[in-house]
Amino acid sequence: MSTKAAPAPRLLRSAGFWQTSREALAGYAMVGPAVLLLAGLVGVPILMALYLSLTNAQVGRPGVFIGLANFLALGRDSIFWATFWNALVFTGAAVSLKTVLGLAAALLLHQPLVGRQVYRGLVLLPWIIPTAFSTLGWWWMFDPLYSVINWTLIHLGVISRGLPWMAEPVLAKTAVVMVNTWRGLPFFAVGLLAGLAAIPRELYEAAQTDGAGPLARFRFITLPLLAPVLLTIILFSTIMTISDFNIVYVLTRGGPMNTTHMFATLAYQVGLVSGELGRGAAISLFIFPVLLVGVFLLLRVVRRSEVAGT
Amino acid sequence: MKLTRREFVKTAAATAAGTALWPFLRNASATAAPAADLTVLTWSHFVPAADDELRRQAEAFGRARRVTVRVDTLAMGDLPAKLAAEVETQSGHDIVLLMNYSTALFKSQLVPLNDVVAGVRRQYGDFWPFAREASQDVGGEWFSMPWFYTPAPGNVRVDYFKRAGAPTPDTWDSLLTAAPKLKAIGHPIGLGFGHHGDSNDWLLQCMASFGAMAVDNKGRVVINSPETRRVLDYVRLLYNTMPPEVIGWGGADNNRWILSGVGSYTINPISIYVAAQRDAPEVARNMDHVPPPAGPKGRFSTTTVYTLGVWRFSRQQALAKEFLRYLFAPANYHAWIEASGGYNFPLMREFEVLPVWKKDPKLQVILKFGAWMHMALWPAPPSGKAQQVYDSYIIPDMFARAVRGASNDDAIAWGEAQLRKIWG
Amino acid sequence: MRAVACVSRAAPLYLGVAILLTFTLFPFVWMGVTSLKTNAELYNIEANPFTIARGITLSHYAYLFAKTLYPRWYANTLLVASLSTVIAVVVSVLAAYALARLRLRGSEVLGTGIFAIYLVPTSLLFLPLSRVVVGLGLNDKLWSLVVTYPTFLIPFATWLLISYFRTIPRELEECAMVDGASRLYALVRIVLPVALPGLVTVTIFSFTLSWGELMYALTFISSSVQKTLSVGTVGELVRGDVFYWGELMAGGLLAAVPVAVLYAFLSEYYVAGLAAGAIK
Repeated sequence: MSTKAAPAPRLLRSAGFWQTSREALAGYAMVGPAVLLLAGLVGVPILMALYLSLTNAQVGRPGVFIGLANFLALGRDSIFWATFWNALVFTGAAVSLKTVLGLAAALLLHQPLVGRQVYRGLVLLPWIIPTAFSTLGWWWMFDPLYSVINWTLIHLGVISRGLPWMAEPVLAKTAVVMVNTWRGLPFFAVGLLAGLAAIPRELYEAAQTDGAGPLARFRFITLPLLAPVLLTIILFSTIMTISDFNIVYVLTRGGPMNTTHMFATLAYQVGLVSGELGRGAAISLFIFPVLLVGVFLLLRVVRRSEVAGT
Repeated sequence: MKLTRREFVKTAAATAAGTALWPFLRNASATAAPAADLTVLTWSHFVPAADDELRRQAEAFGRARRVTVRVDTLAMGDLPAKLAAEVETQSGHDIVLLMNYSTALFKSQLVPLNDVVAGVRRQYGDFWPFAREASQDVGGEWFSMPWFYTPAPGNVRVDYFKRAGAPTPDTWDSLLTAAPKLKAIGHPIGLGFGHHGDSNDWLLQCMASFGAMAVDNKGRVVINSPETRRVLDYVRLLYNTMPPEVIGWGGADNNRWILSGVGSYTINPISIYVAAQRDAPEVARNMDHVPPPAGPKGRFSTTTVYTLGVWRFSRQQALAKEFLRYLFAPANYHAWIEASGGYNFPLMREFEVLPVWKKDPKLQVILKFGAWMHMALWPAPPSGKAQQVYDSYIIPDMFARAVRGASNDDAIAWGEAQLRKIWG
Repeated sequence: MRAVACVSRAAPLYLGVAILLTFTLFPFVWMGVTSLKTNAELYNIEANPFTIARGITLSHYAYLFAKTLYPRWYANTLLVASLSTVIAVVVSVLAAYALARLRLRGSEVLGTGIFAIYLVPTSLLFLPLSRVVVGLGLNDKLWSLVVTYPTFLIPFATWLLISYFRTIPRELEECAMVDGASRLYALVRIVLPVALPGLVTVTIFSFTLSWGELMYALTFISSSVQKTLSVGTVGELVRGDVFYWGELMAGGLLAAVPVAVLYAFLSEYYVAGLAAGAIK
């Protein structure tokens, strides 16, 4: 029983444990601080933002209620749909890369290698350094004049002429995904490492005595037991990636020609730089249903994997 | 082994935390900034000495009036978010930096400054018309104080032009003639199309010199015109002589283009020259500044105009106005311009030619810019809508489409649609 | 913990690690080199980006410490990140324990609600939130960050901790409570030590996110002495169209390396705790 993988937090059913009413009170008291903090500092602003999205407010001018006009206008805006598509593609690509590479990294760092502690610290660096700095660095590294990337690729003989990273939409998008993956990889590696560490050795030893090879051990022990942690991490990485602002803003500002916008940068440009607060709020709020759908689907997979895993 | 490491980590963490927190714990007030009577928000000037001088003047003013004045600076790109937040919360700084048409955008939030401006006009004479457009509303009331602008001449590598056998460009046509030759010797010109004020500026001034307008003086969208088509054709040809990455250029890219020694021409304030003198002396030696190119309808320039506004919610309006007067006292104003290396340029028609401009012949041309300068969306009436057009980068995007293959009709149709969303 | 002795088995693993580290670290190598290069060489397009030909200069680091408030910003960020992390972890531990263990009415709604909060990005919230912050009188004070940062730390921390708490068998607390211990005692003395890997992960996560946060710090803080690392350094070293690259990269490196060193110690720590047989 103790070695069962943790069920998804969605299934918050306790298994036959009778509570005294005093304990229930204690329980509410324990959840209280979290609820209060979140309600006051997130819930209230969300409602304010929701209201904002239903007005034609501009910076410096409170607007009037216009119902869903902002959302309808967005529906007709090609830049918005391009952004929507970007959000899906970028997030999908980046999270997939991070999952695969993160899992590989976690497996590597789990091995009893010499200097393992040092590697674990080093691998965290991309995630620790504030994005403000690292993205500026990447921007310089992609700049066609000085690009370290181009220089390295040319000297390795992969390409003969420098690539115009920020000028071609495809390259710009690749750059954004690359930086996103680089930045998020440590999060996956460390989180999965913790998950790997929680898997008892006896299972592997038992399987090995039964004659299971490393691939089989991976498929039937590691993956199922890692699944809940893996899916939690994928979930949160998806949320963080889709709502990312800094990387796109510093790297491309949404360019060239608005082709690399994500929701957050478009909302910033429309809402704050151009001053249309209501429209900007509407764009930001679009992330919500998109994520909700994604989360729902992901949790379905979790639940199914759990049933299969037991 | 495990235990000692645990102890070590605990001790290390505690020591680190303690060292960092000690000054705060020892003196609780250290965590809070000293409450200032008057606060000013401005950008981080690329010549740090200008900020130092501003702070010095603020301190002097504070000492004389027995108040504290604090000057906060931030990166230019963060200003819109900050201003929006201050307006939304109705709290923040007393005096803030405003750019281009922001005064019109925030008019309802700003204190009228007619009396302060009158005093400055008495001292220096009148402002240029474009400066009035930046600070006045259509009724003639002043809602901000014109502070400075940064003339943007053509930055030319004289040696490359000579090598290519072309004269330094004085008109858009001569620029177009020279550009392929410069590309041939491996030193192309570079003008950006990305989402930045620089792109707005050069394209709008190009349009103006061809007689093309986005919005006319009555606020009607008139971008669909034969003049616009002429400009589109022209810019297409010019683009073909430039490296493809100019499509994504922001504000700093053309600087690097010249500083690297590769670029031969761009349009930019003297920040490139100043940086070159420090970091790339060979570039500084070989470059010069020339007037903006002239077109069939004249010589036009546009670049950001900076003004200072006082928020209506400020509780120190009288003090703020006094400080503005203080900043414009000739001794202070001139000292500040000098400290900026001559980069900050006065908005009055008549001004004293300060030593900082006199000593370097390469800076002479910026003295004449007032006559060529216009607000970005001229002749559109100053309003928040003009600022919106500027901040949405409609013009750079329209031209970017055209140079990347869209037909004139398609590009103009797109631009028109975007403009109409704002101007109706 | 046997070290991998057989060379032929070890080699591909070390190769894998080398590739991994190359990918994650080459920007840092470049940043380090850039922070030590003279400006003249920085702008030279012929120069090799990974070597320094014209002499190492410490002027960028010197500028950072002498001409900017970098040490002050560092201390500010350390303070804010530490306090936010403590608050977030404490609040999350309590909430997660209650939601994982205690059968509360509406716990499912609460759990989903806490998670749903996470779906809302800071780039949407910061403007309305600034009104709340001003209303609380926290404008331009570091406390505004200490109070608001936990809002995006708690959801993930709570979720992860719920997951970890559920792997811990109830018998552990049941035994202690049968012996007369209170719930809280059971939580602190029995459950937490066992859930240590989760705690450390959550702490690292919270600290890191607070460390690099930009949006709230930019909006709520104005005065220079109060700024955090990201806001202050970028604000002071990106001046118009002139970027102080050497200083920026130096600032970035100094913001990353010490924290990474600390984490390196922590990682071994929690795995060691695990190996001690805490989880059976």
